[in-house]
Amino acid sequence: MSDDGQREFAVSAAGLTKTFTLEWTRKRLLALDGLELRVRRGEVFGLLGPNGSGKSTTMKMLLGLIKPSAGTVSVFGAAAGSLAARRRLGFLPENPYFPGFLSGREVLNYYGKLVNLHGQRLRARVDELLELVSLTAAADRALKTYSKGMLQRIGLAQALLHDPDLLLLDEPTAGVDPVGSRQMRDLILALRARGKTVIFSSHLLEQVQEVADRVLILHRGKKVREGTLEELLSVRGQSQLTVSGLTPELQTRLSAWLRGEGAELLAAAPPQQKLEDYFIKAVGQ
Amino acid sequence: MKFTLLALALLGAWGAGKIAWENRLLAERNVITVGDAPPMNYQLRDSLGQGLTMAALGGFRGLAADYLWLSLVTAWETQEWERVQTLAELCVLLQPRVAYYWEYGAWNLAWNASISAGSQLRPGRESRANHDAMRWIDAGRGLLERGVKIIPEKPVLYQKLGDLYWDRLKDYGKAAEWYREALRHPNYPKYLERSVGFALEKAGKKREAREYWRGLWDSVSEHPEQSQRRWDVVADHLEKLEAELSGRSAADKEVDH
Amino acid sequence: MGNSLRHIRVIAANTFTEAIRQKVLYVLVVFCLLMLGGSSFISQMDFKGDDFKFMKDLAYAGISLVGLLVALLGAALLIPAEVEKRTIYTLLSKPVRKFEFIAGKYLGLVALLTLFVTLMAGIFFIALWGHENALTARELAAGGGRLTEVQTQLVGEYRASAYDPAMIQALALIWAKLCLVTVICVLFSTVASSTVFIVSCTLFVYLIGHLQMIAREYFLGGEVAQWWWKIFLAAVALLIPDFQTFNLSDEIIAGNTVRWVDTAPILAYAGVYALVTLTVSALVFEGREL
Repeated sequence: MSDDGQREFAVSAAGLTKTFTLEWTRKRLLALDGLELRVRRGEVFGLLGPNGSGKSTTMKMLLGLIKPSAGTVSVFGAAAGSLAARRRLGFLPENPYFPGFLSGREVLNYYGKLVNLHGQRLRARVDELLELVSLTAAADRALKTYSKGMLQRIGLAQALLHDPDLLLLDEPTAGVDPVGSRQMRDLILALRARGKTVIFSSHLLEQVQEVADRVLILHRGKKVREGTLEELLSVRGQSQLTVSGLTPELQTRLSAWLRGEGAELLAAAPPQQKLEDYFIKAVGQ
Repeated sequence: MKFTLLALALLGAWGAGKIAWENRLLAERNVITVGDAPPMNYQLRDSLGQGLTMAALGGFRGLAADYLWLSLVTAWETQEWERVQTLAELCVLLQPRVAYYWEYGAWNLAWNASISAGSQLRPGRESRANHDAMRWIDAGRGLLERGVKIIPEKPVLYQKLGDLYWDRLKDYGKAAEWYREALRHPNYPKYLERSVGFALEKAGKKREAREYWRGLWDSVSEHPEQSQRRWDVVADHLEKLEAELSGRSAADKEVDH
Repeated sequence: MGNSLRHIRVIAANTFTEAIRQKVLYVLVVFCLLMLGGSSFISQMDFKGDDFKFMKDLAYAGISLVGLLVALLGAALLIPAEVEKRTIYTLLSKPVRKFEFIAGKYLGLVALLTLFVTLMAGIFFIALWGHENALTARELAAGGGRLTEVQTQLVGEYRASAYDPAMIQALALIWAKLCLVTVICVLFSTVASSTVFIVSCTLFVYLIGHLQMIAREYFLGGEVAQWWWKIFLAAVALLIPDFQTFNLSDEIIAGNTVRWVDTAPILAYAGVYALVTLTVSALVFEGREL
């Protein structure tokens, strides 16, 4: 990492603003309002917010599909949307839709050629990625027979074709079953382990919690919070204990003792297993 | 916005330039099509149904003309000669450069319609029938005479004019002239060479016929028996005329005009 | 540059594959039936017309219609679908330029049109060959195996008409016209997303394009008084191609002499026109937010 601030960040945006002018009424719509965004290299960064909060707009501006009305945005120091920037990022769109007439392998070949892979290198890379997203068996089936989760995985594979340093994942787990969702999460973590930067958007907070190093919460085009999960989520001045063998009698005594020491027992209940974990165990994974 | 303006500028600049190009293409086209075929124009819209016009404009003019020709054949079978004439006119209006429409349009008028009119003989009305027959012949001839101006480069319409003068007007001198004209254009049928000679003989222009046969014989050095040019016929006629004419003096009464 | 050309080729190949796998080739069956019906129609009823002209008119109209269908639907369905289904996001997240996308789509459609025109021409030539054989056989039968002089002339004319090499020129003209219609459809596809709208606009241009010559004459002649009429004529003359120019194919069908030196300038006109329109489309698309 150099001292140059730009180099330290995979993505940096300053005062990023986007207004859309509605076609007929000429009404102006503020989709994003002065967003400051810095994503460090190697970070898994979650972009959170309800529908219409500006997540997709931000993603599109990172890709250069739309131009900011004001402010700047760069990817590894290059202007977003420039070829230099696009060479270093991979993108998984929301509900990815691919030409249904192609098979999984064909679609990877197609996109592979567009990131300038060919010949033996392309073939090897495609095989490798099919293996990575566990689609080798389904590789030669037409995409229109794929399930949502499979499409999501083939989408991830195409985003990884040119081994990009930055991955943009738009709602990567939307509409995917828990098993698929967990696979996606594991893949994200594996990518982080290889030093990749991952930015993903989601409105499913629980999943974000499991993978994101840092999150940014958007609401109506404005940043409302940003920070590490620890910073944002830990409730100050409270602690959680997990005890086994706590009888009602013992609980009364513990409560009294705590009060004597100036603390207070706020809640006591058996810890709940997360339904997702339970489900995964149940289906034997 | 920047790109849109650039796009509009490019479109405008090209538009200004392309007009000149289009005019040049049109000029070249007019050279190819030689005659004075009128371009598609407003006339058409007045004389044809709306749907047909659309088809004609949309590049389906040929098929529209074919349809009209089919109607013409039907009208001919029911002997509606006025209708045949109207449809023939429409065909040549739609596709003036199709020789076929002029040729068979004229044939329908000058032969079929005319013969049919001429055979409507009622006692005391012979002159009327003859007059009608002649009117149809004139209509056919008019069509052909317009046709050769629009398609001057093919022999077929000249040949048909020759046939018309021979067959329908019995003016063999004129027929010979038109056959001769047909021979000036490439790909004429070989038998037409002899038609000139026959017509001259039938017109009584024996000297001219003899010169013609001789010229034809001399035009090539070899005269194969088995050929499409029927040299045997040429030789027969030449010899017959030579024998006939050599027996007379140069100041014979026979007049060639 | 090398990458651009490769990208264009890859996108073109993909477009072509997509169209083929959508089973568009079934449209050819319609054309086959048309040719079959046409030739049996003229054989059965004595057409008393120029058989070959009728067959050629039918074939050229069929090729024009099928080609128009392929061109219009190809451009007006495939390009908006990429935007609507957001496959274009995936595509443009790669180091692919927008003009490569437009050029690739267009060339893919041109490849498709070329295939269609070639196949239809093949079917058409077979039909001509069959009809020529039938007519010649009829003359032979009538002459008891030997042809008279007039019959020989007639058979020669059949042959000349059925195997006229200038038909290749006529087909090239149709093909060029279809390519030009396609690029106009591509241009509309870059500004609009409704297939119906795009097809209507293109058809409008196609029809007006056949009247462009008249508009041009009036525009250059400057005889029109009303300002709004002037603006309309100027717009038609400046913005719309002269489609009538491609009807040189009518001359060929009529059996009149047309040489390649006559056809080539028209093909060049179509080529340059397509290139300019494609550039305009790329510029418009470059400025469009997706």
